[in-house]
Amino acid sequence: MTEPGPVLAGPGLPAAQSAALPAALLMPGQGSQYPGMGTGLYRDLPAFATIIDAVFQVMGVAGDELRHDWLAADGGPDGDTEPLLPLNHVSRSQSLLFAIDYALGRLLVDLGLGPAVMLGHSVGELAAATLAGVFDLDVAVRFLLRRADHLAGAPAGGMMAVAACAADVRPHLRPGTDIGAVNAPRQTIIAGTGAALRATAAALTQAGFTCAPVPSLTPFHSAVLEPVVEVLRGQLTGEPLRAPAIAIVSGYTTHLLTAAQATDPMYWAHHDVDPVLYWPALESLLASGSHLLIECGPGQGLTTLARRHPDVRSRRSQVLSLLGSPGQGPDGEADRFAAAVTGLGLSVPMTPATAVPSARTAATAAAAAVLATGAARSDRVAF
Amino acid sequence: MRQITLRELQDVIRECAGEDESAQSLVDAANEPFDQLGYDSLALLETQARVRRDYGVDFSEADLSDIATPQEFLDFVNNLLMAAA
Repeated sequence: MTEPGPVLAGPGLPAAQSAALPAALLMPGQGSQYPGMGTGLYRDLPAFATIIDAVFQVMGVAGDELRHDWLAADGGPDGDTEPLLPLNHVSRSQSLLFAIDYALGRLLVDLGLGPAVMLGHSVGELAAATLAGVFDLDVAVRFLLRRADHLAGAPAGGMMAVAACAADVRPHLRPGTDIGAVNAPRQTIIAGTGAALRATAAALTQAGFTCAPVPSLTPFHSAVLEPVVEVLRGQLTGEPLRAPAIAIVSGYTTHLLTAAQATDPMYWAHHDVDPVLYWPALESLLASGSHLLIECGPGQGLTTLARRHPDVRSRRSQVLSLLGSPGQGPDGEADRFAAAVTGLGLSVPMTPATAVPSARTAATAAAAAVLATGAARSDRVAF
Repeated sequence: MRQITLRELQDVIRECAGEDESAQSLVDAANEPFDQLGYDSLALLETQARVRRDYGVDFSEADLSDIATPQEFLDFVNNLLMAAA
């Protein structure tokens, strides 16, 4: 286990960041997940563990199982390293990305950061909207869990990244596939059912385009998922939805999310069949002014792409990763996070390991106990 | 014997990433990790495909995953070119 770092600044938290650029939180979605993501921060930073445990708690039994599988990749609770479901399963990747994106954003805000704007990729937009108060946490979590249930029963499929612009990809799409995302000028994601996706990838490869699979067992953002739209709309109807208290650039319209859209269940229900327009949305965000783009989630996929934007190339805008790259692993996450937020003029309250039981030990012991006994919840996770 | 230069690699990778001349010059950043330069695995796969085609060198995806910087990319490809000469 990594020794938690020392307290990095004096008592109390600064009221505001010192960085000159307005902060934009970029929240990643499907494809950014990797085994062990965020588990080092969970282990070493109690403030993060408290927030994400609250998310798991709202998820109930599903949250206990999710945490079990999440931590299994990092040695596991009580050495249990066998996940119940693979990470790329919809009920794992989507919920974990949501939980980590949201918890990191919540933590930054708690530490005193005032984000000027947020942009979420796919499920990242749901996390951003929750942080912005559009959804209460329990409403967002219920929506996410219900959606995962329905998507798990949807036709099997996946996603593929193509090194080409959408216009070049479109003529090669086979029935059953769609443009799922526009990530960069020459990075388009296609989504669809297994056989159709393979046929499309073969046609694209034949035409000289480079393709690479995106880790997903579900064809997100394709017409294949049309049957879930009405179910999800019904799920949100009658729930309290609010205008965002923090500006959000919609990954679907590429403009600021309006109050009317944010409070319309159909806007959210339609995400699974509409393409994510990450790059156009990023262009829209940066056209409004230079920003410090912060990867508020696992990995650094969104900021790596953002580095290609002329505003970042010219250093008018800057990028910042909170957790580092997947290859760096969980062990140094807390140090990387501390370095990142110190650069923002904030300080991280690192609790010495001797003063407080390790977040990981306490929480995972509780989770393991719940799983072992089949008890319904692990409400009392003490730190 | 043909070798690939940093400037040639820069032109290929910019084209693969869909960038114009505003893109960062690799000449000043030969030892920066690719992800810090804005190039993800897909851009590198595409670059590999172009270099394979244009320079007639063959190397695997596994080889590519061990290459972290433009300089390492150049060294790897130029070694292959030299061995083939």
